[in-house]
Amino acid sequence: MALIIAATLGFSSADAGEFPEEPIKLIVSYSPGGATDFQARIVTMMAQDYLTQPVVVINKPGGGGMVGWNWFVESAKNNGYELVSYNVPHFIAQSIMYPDKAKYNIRNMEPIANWGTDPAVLVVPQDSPFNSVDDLVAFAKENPGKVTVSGAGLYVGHHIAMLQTEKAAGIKLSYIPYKGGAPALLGVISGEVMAGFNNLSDAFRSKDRLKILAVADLERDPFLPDVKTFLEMGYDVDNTSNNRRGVAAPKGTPPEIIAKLAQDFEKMFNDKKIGKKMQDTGCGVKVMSRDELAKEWVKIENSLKSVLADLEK
Amino acid sequence: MLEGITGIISNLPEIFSFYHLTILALGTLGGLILGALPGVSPTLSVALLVPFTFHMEPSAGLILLGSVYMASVAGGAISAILINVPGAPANIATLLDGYPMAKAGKAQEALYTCFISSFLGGVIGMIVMILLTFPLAEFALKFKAGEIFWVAMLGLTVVAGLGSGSIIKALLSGAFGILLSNIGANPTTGEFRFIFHDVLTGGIHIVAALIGLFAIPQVFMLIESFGEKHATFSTSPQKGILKKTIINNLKMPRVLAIGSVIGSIIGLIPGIGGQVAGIVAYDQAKKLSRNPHDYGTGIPQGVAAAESANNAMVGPSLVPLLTLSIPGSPTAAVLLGGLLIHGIFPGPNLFLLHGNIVHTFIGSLLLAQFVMLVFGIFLSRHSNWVMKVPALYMAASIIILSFFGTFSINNNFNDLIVMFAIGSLMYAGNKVGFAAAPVVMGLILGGIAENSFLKGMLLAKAGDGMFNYFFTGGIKITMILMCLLSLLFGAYNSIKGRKKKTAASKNDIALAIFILIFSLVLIKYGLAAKDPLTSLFPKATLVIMALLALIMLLQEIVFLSRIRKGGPEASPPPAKKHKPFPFLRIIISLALTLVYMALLDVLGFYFSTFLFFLTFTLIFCIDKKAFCQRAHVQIAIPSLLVVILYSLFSLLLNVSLPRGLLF
Repeated sequence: MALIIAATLGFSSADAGEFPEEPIKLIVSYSPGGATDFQARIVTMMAQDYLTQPVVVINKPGGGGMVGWNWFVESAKNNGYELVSYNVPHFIAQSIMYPDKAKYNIRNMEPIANWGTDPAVLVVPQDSPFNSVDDLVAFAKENPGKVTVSGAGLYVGHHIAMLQTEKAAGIKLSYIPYKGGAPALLGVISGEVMAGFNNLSDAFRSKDRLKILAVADLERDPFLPDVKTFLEMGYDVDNTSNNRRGVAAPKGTPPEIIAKLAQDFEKMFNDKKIGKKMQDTGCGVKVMSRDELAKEWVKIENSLKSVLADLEK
Repeated sequence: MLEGITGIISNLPEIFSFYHLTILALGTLGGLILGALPGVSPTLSVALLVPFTFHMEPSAGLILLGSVYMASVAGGAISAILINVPGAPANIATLLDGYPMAKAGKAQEALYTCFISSFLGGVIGMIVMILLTFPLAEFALKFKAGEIFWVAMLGLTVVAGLGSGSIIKALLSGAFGILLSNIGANPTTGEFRFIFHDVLTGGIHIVAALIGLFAIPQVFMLIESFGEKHATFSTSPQKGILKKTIINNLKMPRVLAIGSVIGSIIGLIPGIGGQVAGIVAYDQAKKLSRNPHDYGTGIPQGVAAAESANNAMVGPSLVPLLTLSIPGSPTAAVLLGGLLIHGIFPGPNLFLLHGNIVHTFIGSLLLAQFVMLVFGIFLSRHSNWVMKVPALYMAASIIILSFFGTFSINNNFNDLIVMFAIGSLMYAGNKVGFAAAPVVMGLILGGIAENSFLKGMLLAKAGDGMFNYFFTGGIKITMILMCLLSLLFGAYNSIKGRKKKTAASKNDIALAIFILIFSLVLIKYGLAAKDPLTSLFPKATLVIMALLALIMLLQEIVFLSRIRKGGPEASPPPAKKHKPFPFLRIIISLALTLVYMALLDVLGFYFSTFLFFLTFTLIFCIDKKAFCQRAHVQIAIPSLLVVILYSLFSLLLNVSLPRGLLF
């Protein structure tokens, strides 16, 4: 009985002043061991120091993230103790393409902070006749639909980068969706496909067996200083496809709690130790505050709407 | 070729350091226990342990993950043999002969066989990996969508032989499994199929389905048997069995060779994973045996074929990960995380840059085989008591374990609903002659077949056409020939060993009509898609189902008419003594389980589990008075169970189970 009373008291006193009083749950809508899960665990390692409470990662995978995000916007408690990791542009693209199946969108998720980004790169096999984006574009112009391009699945960053390239170069490619980034990269290495868009970090690890032709970002990446951006080469492919990862809260979370979370998470993501660990493991760090993030989401949604418009016949 | 060996030898002091040996022993023992829990598959066991390795030094962390991977593959056989529920998809084939052996009082022999053959297979797999790492990596790269499609087809030819008699019913079960794999978004077109409820949006998780298909029918069978006298046999450790089993194992080099070779090859193929190695090896051992009809009746050869293949798969499955940085199986994908966290990037340079760590890791995995053999035999000696647990307690425990296991896969309640629904359906299916193993095979391979076929189609359209894509190339033609051989062998065996049909069943006629209508209705109304590729596979599967049902219907009608005419087979079947079906008991237990499921979230997992176990045992115990007199014991049992579950799931694995109002 005493326990129950203590528990109720505990709940009622959980106002913003003392928040958080118990561990914070972070829902990851991918399997344990995957890139998102793995990064989420690294960037929350020091939660005790910054939030006074640990962050517990809970995996709810399925349907390319859809199961976890649907659960989050429908059932998560909006008291600040249940947060989710998002993958942009993936979740925004899904919300555009599956308006009835995906219950989430940028209007029912509150951005907290962004921890990392992984740009898409265009890769071809080591023995490919293509030595530059221009080679590939020239061939594709002659042979519409003959160039096969792999990516981690439908409506993920790789797919978006492919669509942007098609539009920018005025070519037609054949997109082959794989079940995940690793098999998609294997498809390029083994020559099953002629080219592929993949994560910079994964392509970097396999760079001995690949040619990396271009990076879909605004600037070159410190990991690959010799690889030019599409923009440098004159193709209008911006950073919309960058795979950004971060933390969001459900709509309806009290504003003072959101403000506190946004402040603490941003500080934590900027911690030097975490940055070092991310660098060592090959993950790109990019910390963004809640305000920057809110603007970025809107920008990406608009950009995606125009990129994806051609797909919806 | 020899660098592998010299590398290991130069790292022997590291491998045999006290710290590393301790971790190896703990990982192996833990892996065996985790693997034995239904639902806690090798992938999940490794995934849940990755965070613990964050703070370890790299080689220690890798040894922990590797030994858990290795041991959990073998551990899944323990539950397959003792309670007829495979710990993971890899162990489906083990139960086909393992459980009949256990029921006949030979549990200990079955477990010994399992660990001895696991050990031999595992050592062979590791040696193959150490000697041939780089050539194997090049070989693995040859498996593209076309090749993988035919591998999946070869796996599907196994389905026909997996039923409990009727080939048509086995094929229908396999087709149903394929249909289950089609639920959710089509990976190529992105359109959804068969989403009759939001619960299905993410598709059906193979492990959740696996638990439902095996555990739930097993529970209901136990419930049916309440109050019956079981055949009693000694469950205490018997002397001399170990020696006998070792000699027996040495007498089946052919079975072990088939298992180890098939396991090593399948382990290598990216995307197929170890889930089917055991069952394909089992099927081939059966087809190549002189007495194929003994398989499934409880012979050690069946267990040995499956388990040697399973563990032979582990070593080669790491090759694409270590050499190409591409994980070939879900478990390898998780291991990649364990490598990256220490800044170790696998790939061609791995052996140059981190040779010491990698060779320590590989050497430890080889050593883990020996440790596993010792622990496995020790556990076998002392897990026999499971066979003595009364049916009442067993049924309650399996329900509870299957709920915990299913929830921990995805932390998702919907999986519980799907698991229980599929399980209840399978129980009904069992009653009319369907078996679970072909459904699981259909579910695993259906997804792989569809994905590789559609991918191949897209590639063929951009490339040199369908025929060239799917029917040319050495590996593809070999695979196609093997498919044909496998079909022919299966047909030959089934004709040779066909039992004369003695009774037509009205049930089967009704069943055939039902399946026919079911598939036709689904074809007509279940599939509305813009892109024809979305519904290609489900539609083809449904058409095959309808045809099979039609054949079944015709068979029964022809047979009935022959009896009417007074043919030679018209003699009435020998009357069997039927015991009354305990309808009330099944309904009550069904209701209890549903209430349990509903309470989990409200009251908390552990408290509802305690309540469920107590209520279940109280309602179904025969002597209520004795139950109340021994109330302290009856309360102590579920309390102890909760404590064990808590230490396993909450403390060891860090699974966050909903606490609800209480705990």
